[in-house]
Amino acid sequence: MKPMLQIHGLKKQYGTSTVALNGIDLEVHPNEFIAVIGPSGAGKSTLLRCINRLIDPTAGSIAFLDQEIVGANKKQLRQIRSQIGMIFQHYNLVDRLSVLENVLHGRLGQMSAFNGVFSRYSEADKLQAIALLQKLGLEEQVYKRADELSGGQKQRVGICRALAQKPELILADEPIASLDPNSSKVVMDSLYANCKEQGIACLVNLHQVDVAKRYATRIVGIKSGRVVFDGSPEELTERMTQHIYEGKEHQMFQNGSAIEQAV
Amino acid sequence: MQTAAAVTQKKLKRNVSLAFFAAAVVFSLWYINFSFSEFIGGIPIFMNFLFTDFLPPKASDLPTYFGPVLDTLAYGVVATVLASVIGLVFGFLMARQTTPHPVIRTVMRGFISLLRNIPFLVWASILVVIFGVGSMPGIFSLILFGSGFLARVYAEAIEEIDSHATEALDAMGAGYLQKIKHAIIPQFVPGYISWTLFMFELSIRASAILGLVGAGGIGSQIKLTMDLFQYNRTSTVICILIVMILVIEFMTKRIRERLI
Repeated sequence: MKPMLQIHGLKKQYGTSTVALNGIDLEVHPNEFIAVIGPSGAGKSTLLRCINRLIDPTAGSIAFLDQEIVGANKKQLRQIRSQIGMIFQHYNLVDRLSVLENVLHGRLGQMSAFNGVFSRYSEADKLQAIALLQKLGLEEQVYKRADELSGGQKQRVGICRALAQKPELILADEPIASLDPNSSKVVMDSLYANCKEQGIACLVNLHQVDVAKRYATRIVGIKSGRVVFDGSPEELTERMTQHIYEGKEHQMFQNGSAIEQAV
Repeated sequence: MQTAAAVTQKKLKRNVSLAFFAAAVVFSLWYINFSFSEFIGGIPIFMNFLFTDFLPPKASDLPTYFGPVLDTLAYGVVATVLASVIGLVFGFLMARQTTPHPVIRTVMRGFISLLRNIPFLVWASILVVIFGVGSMPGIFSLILFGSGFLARVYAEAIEEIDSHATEALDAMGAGYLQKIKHAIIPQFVPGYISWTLFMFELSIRASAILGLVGAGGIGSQIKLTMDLFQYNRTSTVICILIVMILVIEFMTKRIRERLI
């Protein structure tokens, strides 16, 4: 099967000395649910943000569905971004707007500037947004303001917003790092189920190895800006995990093992 | 840990600063021929003036001030609305996240700081020369000063907005205007309302001073009655002004609480 996302020799350097990514090669195929693991500061977040160019890479190439992302102009970039959903650690919702409006924001990338500015969402978009919210168990929250929600609910709104884009790929940057074990499980279950069902490829940054092993179809281990492991969850040995987290072992299980207990 | 030498040096520095400050105070008092005895001696005269000429306020002609009060309120509304519209445009051009170009931001900041740093009394004095005595120079000076003031505080309110939501809209391919509408404006609303109401309060207070340069409103009644030596009328006007400011302060506070 042809990869949907091809990353070659991706480098990101901050200033003259800080190297965040040091030559990343990665291919993502449709339907894959990939967990990117590694200690904090390994470059996981930078990698995800380079894919939709929230951060501009220093060198390398990224091809997404045969479109080159690194050299894309503003208009092309908007078009590419509209096909890539993103989920954030801090949810990144507009607190003072309703849950429904936040989900509808997912449609903006695919609307004209005029329709977008004046919130002229189509009837189909609105129905889809409400259907998504119902599906993720938020039907009671549709008209509430986003800042009235709990962390887990906010993150599910974040997932709805990403799904509203009808994306080909979802990038999730530490989606459960700010959540308690129960909410973490609900969020990971929702993300996984919806990606599988709609054939969306997903890259999830996680620092909890056991959560990664639970959900991922493939695991990518990153250490000091390089890919040091790329394989199935079964292939990820204890030794390899220790190598990835060398010196930062305490980060491996933070609230991850608690998910097991919450099951 | 501080060494003994460092501590001594610190003490020395402090003593030198204190000496400089004391010298500045003494020099200034001497330079302006400040006379304490005159200040103390003036108190009985002031009291006498206050209780015989100024008080009690002449309540009988309260209805005659209805017009000037309404004028002042109307000037305040007009000045605030126009200053808010102009300030909004400049504020968005000046704020880091919303400026179309960094050069525009710098140029606008310079221009606005010029507008803002000329006190409105100076604006009013200049505009009275241009437009003649009346209400227009008062309103114009409030608009000029207010636009600068609001542009500055609006821009700061926009820059204080949390960037998370904007990042999310960026990531999904939203454009410049869409981001302003859906991420910036909703979060800017509380700041906008607060500062605009504050501007309205300012413009009512300012009307007292603007009257002194003949720029209309309730303030001109202060000057008029004082020029005619009708001090008990002046005190009436001052009472009206205080009540007006208190009422408006109370109302704007209530509106703020309800909207945010």
